[in-house]
Amino acid sequence: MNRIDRTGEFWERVNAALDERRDPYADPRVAGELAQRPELLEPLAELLHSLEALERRPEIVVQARARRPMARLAAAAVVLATAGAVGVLVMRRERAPQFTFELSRGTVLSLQAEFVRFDGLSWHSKSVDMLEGWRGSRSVLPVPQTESQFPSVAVLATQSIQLGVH
Amino acid sequence: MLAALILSFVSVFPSQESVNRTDPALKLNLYEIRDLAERVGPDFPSRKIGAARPVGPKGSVEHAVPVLSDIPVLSSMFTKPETGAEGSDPAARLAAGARVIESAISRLILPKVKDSQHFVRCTNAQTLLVNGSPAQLEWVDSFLQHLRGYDKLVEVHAHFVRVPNERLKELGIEGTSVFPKPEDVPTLLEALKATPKVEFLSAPRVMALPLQRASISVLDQVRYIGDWRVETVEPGAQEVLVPSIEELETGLALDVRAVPLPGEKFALTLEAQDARLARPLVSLTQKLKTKQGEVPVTLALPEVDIQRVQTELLLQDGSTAVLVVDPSSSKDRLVILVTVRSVAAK
Repeated sequence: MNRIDRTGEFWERVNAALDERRDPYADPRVAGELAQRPELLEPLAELLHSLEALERRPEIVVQARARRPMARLAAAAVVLATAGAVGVLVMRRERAPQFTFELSRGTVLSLQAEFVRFDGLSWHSKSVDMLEGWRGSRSVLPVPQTESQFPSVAVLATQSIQLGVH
Repeated sequence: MLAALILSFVSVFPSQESVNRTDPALKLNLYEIRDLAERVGPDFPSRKIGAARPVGPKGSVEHAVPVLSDIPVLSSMFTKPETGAEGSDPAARLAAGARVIESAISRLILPKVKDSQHFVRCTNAQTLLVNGSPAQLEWVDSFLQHLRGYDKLVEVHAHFVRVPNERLKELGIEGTSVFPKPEDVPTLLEALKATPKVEFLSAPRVMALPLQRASISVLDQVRYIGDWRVETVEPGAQEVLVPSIEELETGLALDVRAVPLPGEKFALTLEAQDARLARPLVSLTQKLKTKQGEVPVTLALPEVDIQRVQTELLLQDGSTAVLVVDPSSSKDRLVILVTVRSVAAK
């Protein structure tokens, strides 16, 4: 890459600033471009140095040289902040793939679920309407052993209704 | 024929005349859908995965323990109690097929049916009666035309995944939603595989004809002693101990029915059941009273976890729905990815 490539919008804005006796570092577009392309800092500094040597615009060059350390610091800070933000975004993307959902691709009209757990003696059942919230909960509770040969006579117990007795 | 239909219609819907006086914008259209009713195919009972049943003559054993078949479950979205004997009777099968189409139109018609003045009914002669607005009738025309011209198969692919709740947000799953881009699904699956404590339960894939119900199940059958009884038999009027053997099916069953809609969409009805048996089975030793005294017997107490999910989806061809089900009994969530796409029939 030509280190003194003075074409393109960046250099046009730099030249325009110099022509108008403004500080190129104060141009937000120039600063933004520098933040994205820090490699431009060096040729810009060389340009301003050569202008100083030629003493074409001594006041501007002096002003530029005087402000250069601060401007470079600001540009570096912008670069670091941008890089940091990009890094955070990249890390977040790696940790959590973000997917977008679109209603026009489809709709869930209904979604019901039932969960049953049977432990051999009693069972617990829970019905859920996932689109409307909890629909109900039922369970069977074992009772103490009766005269039956097995401790397995169960009473169906619910909050409001009795489903049956075995 | 037409007179008979109108007579039957008037007897079934005696208020039709006044209905149309109330809203002259409504119009009654009749559609012959016998050909489509035939394509629905036979219905069959839904499997009750996780339900135990006695092996041997029915009713030969009086259970002393509650069995899994006693557990009331969600009624199937496919098989209704009054439609049990449709498998062998062609007329009943046709009527059931017509009801499937009637139900689909009632649920999906656009604009939506808002009051009783609009109705969709099917006669026993597989004639569909639709009393609706011009827009609704136009939708029905388009729907039936699309069904008749549809010559592809429908593939339904489901992934059942158990995901810790705290991982859902990290994975970008906010809740039950629909994926816009099919190419994102492999990315999500890879992310799920790479996430700790995520358990892939199953990933059944079903290929179905449009309108037809398709079912797939992968089952383990386990037989165990669920009970004992004492019987007195000859010779010698001796007492014998008779075990009651029960059979339990565990595994996964998936039932789907896809109805193609105009605009490359599908209305999908899906039922999934997953039952898991804890191994080894817990055994219980009890004493059985006989004339000779108490005799120790051992029976098994199966511990089963059953999850049943029923859903109705409206999906664009190639889209994936992400269903997040919260059992609320654990910190895990059941995530079901359902993808539906049309496949050219070879």
